[in-house]
Amino acid sequence: MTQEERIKKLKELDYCSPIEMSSKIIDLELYDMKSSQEIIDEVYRKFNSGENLVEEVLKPSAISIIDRFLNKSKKINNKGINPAQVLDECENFSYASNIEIKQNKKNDTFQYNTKKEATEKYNKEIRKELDISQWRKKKYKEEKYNGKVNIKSAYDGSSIHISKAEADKRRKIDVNKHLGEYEHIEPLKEIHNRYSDMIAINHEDLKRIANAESNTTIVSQTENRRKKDLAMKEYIDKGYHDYTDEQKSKMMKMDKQARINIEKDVNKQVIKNIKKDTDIQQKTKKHIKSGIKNDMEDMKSEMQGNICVFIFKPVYYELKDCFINGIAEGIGASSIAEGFGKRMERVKDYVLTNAKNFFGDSLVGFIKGMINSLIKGILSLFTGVIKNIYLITKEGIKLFKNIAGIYSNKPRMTKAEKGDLLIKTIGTSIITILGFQLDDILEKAQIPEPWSDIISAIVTGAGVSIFMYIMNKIDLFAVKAEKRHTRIKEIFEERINDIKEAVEVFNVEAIERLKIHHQQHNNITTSINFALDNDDIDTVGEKLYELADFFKVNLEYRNTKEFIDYFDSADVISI
Amino acid sequence: MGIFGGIKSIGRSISSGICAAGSSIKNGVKKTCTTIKSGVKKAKKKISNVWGNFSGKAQFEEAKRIQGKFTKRFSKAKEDFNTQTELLFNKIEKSIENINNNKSTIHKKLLPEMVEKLSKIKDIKIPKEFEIEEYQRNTIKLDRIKSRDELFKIDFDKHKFKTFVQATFTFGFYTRKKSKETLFAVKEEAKKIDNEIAKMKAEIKKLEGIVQALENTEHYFESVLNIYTRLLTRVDNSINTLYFKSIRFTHSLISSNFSLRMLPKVSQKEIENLITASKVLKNMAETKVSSMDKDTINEYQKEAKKSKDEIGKKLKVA
Repeated sequence: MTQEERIKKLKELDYCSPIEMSSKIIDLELYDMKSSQEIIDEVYRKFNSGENLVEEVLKPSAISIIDRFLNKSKKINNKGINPAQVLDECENFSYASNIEIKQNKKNDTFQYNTKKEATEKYNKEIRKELDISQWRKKKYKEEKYNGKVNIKSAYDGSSIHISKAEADKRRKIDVNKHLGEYEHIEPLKEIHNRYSDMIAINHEDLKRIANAESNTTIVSQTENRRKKDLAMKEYIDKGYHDYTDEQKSKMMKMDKQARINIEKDVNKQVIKNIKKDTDIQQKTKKHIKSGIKNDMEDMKSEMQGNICVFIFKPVYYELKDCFINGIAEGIGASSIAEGFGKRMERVKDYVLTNAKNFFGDSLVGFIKGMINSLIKGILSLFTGVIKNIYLITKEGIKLFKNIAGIYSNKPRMTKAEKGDLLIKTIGTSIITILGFQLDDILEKAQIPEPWSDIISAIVTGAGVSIFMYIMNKIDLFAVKAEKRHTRIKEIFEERINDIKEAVEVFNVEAIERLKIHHQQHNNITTSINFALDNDDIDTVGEKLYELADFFKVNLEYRNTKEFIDYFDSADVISI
Repeated sequence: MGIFGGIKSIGRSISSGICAAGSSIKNGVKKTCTTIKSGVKKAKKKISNVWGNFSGKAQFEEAKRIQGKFTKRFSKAKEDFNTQTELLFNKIEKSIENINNNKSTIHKKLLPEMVEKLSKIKDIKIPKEFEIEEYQRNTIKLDRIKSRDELFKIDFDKHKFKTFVQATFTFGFYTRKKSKETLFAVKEEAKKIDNEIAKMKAEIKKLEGIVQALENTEHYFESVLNIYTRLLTRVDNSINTLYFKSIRFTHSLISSNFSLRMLPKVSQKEIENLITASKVLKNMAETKVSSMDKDTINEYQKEAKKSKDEIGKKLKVA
């Protein structure tokens, strides 16, 4: 029973009969019945479980790995993508919900980081630019109707007509409901907001993508006008139109598919534009020459960010699952080796299935061609000793900031926590600095980017993981015990407060109520006895009705007249 | 004063001088000894403090102190709780017994009397019986305090040499960690005890509430029973008066066409009051004052006995 339920039960005493009070109080709970020792044991179990290892080991290591991907590009961080954000995406990942999460969060780094400096706000003019002409819409409708006068609305399945005249002819009322209209599944506003600020795409491209077959359909005029610029989920949630659950789910599927296709088209278009559009190329070259932030570096960094998020999400998911449930558990494996194999298989399947949608068809060309040729020059500035000193310094500062960020929820750290953090920071920094030596080795081995980055990040990350795991097991400063103690203290303090609160409410609702009952009863019975002494039969009757009300007795009459009717109505009276 | 007197006084002064010198030397030595002693003591204390902090023994000592304190507190609270609950349980049982007696009076005496008195004018049906109740003594299961062996991860008193070696060879890291863990475990146990004591207090409050509610109920029964007896007497008088006043009326009374309207208003009122009071009484007798009736408790007891027997049999077989 929760505290709310407990208080609610106590307040119910207000409505019960005075005779029932004792039994109701017997059934009351003023405290949680759970044994105190069980609570302590539970906290201990939790701190020894995999969940704790996720917090203590997996997350810091993941931060380190992600950071390795992102640290070479200052721009990624400037654009607001940081390891914590990527980790957040990884935390929310599951194989089943991946597409929805990606769409809802709009966190596709590829799109986010190719933004222009300012985004034009969606308005009528923009809508006009992105929409096709009425003539083209008519043509589209004719194609869809294919000689028929009515077809089914793509959303609610109702019969809709090709023209107003046809609708008028057949249905005299609710013409709008039965007139077919051109509909953008993903509204123009959404498309504009999401893609218009990408440097390598223009309004014409967006117009073509927004009006592509995969994003258009025919629905009733009523539905079209109600939906307006709303995204599908928003439109369904608003409840403007009565759709069945089946229809809603169909509409969401249509929306999902339309989004996937749009993203795919946009990615393709961007690559195409960068390759062919001399304007864009010149623009980027100009940026490179002037030494300002260059958009092409953005593209490279974004792609690295994308790869990081894309591959790392399922890997993180599997690692977390291993920590919490074990390697072989939950996936039908009989041994650790088999479990490991199955998990790797699952990651591989996911990557291969989704890679095409994610990268488009030109991944290899993009990475090898554009990025390497344009960015190599910039990165080559940081070679040799200068590069290493720069990276080591940067790495040290960043790692410290990242790990400190994990503990930022507790601004007042204890001495033990500070000590623990210090050791961990120094340890991870040393491992990371050693990782730069690995970079040199990989460079000498002529392993191309971004694979060299991936390998070095994973090796460094594994090193950090092992280090953190060992530190966690040793728990040199008894930080784990301290945290556990704080948790137990908090739980008991809360429980004691709950008990105190329940007792206070009990005093008011039960004890005070009992006193009031006693007083009320005395008043009534004294009056009855007084009336009996004085032969005042009317008052006796009146007070007996009060007594019946006091005990919550449901009489079938309220006065002498009704009583006589009741008495005469049956041969036998049941008390 | 003669020569001898002079010599004597010189001798006295010499001896007192020697004594004074002796005692001042003695005092000096004593003082030095005391200073040295207190210095040694201080140094010892300092060293012991340093060692205590280095090895974590200071935290171990604190853990011992806290454990001793809460053990005493819990024992006392538990003892008080048992005494108080025993008293309250007795009161509850006594009240329920009285209420059961009242219920029995209603069932066996008062309602049949009312039926009999009104039978001259109407057939009245009353419940065949009322449930007799019993209180099941039910109180919280208190957690036990963990023993020192369970709580202490390190023991500087029992294993002096072992802990000294552990502290020396690990630069105090190991022993400090264990002491800290011990201190946390003891503090957690103290919090557990606080929670148990809060539960005990709440339980006592609840039992006091039950006692008060039952005492109220007892009082309600007694006063309503008293009123009811008076009403019965009045109705008896009223009907008997009518009965003897008119044979014709009596004839009407026993005929099936009888209507309450035929009676004088006062008699109508008397009967109305008696029926109303009877309904109140019946409701009171039927309402459960404890959470279980005797039959349910008996069933529970039978079930418990049965499972106990079965376990016993299994154990015998094993």
